[in-house]
Amino acid sequence: MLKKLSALAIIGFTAFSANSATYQVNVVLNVERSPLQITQSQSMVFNELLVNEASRNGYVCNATDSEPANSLSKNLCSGAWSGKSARFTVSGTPRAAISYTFTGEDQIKDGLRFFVPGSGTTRTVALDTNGEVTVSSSGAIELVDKDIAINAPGTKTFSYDFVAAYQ
Amino acid sequence: MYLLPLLTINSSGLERAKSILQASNQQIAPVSVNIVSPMVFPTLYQTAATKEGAFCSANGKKNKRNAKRSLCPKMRGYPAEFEISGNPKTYVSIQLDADEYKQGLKFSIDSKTTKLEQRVRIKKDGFGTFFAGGVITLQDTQATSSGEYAFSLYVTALYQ
Repeated sequence: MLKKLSALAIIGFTAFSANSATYQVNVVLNVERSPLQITQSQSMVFNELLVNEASRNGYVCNATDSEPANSLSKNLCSGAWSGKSARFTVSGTPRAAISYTFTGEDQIKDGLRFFVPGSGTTRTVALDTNGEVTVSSSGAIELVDKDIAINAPGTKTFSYDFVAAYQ
Repeated sequence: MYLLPLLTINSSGLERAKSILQASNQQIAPVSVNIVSPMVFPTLYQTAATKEGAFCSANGKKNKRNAKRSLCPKMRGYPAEFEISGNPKTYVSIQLDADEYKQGLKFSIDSKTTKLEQRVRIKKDGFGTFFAGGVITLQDTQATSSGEYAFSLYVTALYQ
C-alpha cells in the first residue's frame, strides 16, 4: 500500500516540476527598396534613307551597330554606315535578375513603317556585381508606299518603349 | 489531487508517507534552464529583388546565396544554446515555441535543425545542453521597415 502511495507522490511532484522562460531574439533588418534605374546610353540611329525611282516597296534599313552584310537588310540605307542600335543601362540591386521588353509596334509615317524586331518579347538578364547591365535593341524602317515617301523628304520621328522590372 | 489517497490511511501510515514525500522531493533538484549563448541572426537585408518567402536561418550553417530567396545571403547565424540543470542521469523534456509575426517578418523555430520537443539527458554532473535554431521569413515585402525587431522564444522544461 505504501509503495504505491510513494510512487503516486513522486509522479505528483515531478509533474509540477516544470520551468518555463521567455528569451528575446533580436534581429536587425535593412530594407532597400531601390527601384531600377534606366538610362539610355545610346540612341537608336538610322543611316540616311534614300528613296528614288529605283526603290521598291519592301526595301528596309536597319539600325544596327555594324553594317549588315546582306544587302536586303540595308537596301533603303544610303551613304557610309552610321546606324546604331539603341542601348540602355539598367542599374539596381547587384546580381538581381530583371526582365526587359522593347516594344515598337508598327508605325507608318509618309510611306515608311517603323518597327522593332522582336517587339514585345520579354527577355531576362541578371545585373552584374556592380548592379548594372546594358541591353540593346535594333530597329527597322521599311518602305511601304514608295509614291508617298518619294514626295516627303525630311526627318521622321518614331517612338518605341523600353520597360525593365525585377523578376 | 495526488495527495488525496493519503487521507484514507491511518495516522502512522500518513506520517511515513509524508516523510517519503519529503525525501523524494529533496532528491529531485529543481529544473533550471539557463541560456549560455543567445540566438544570433546576421544583419538581414531586404532589397527590391528580395521575394516574399525569403528567409534567414540561425542554425550554425551558411545561408543560401540566392539574394532573391535569402534575407542574409552566404551569412551565418547561430542557434541559442541552453544549459539545463537537474537530477543527474535523468531526462528532461523540453518544449520550444516561437511563432510570431511583426511588420512583415515571421520568427519561428528552424524545423530543419531543431525539434519542437526534445528529450535532454542530464549528465552525471547534473547538467545537460540543448540548442534552438530559428528562422526569420519575409512574409510581406511592403510591410517591413529598417530597424531592430525583437521576437520571443519560449522554452518550457518538464521532468519526464
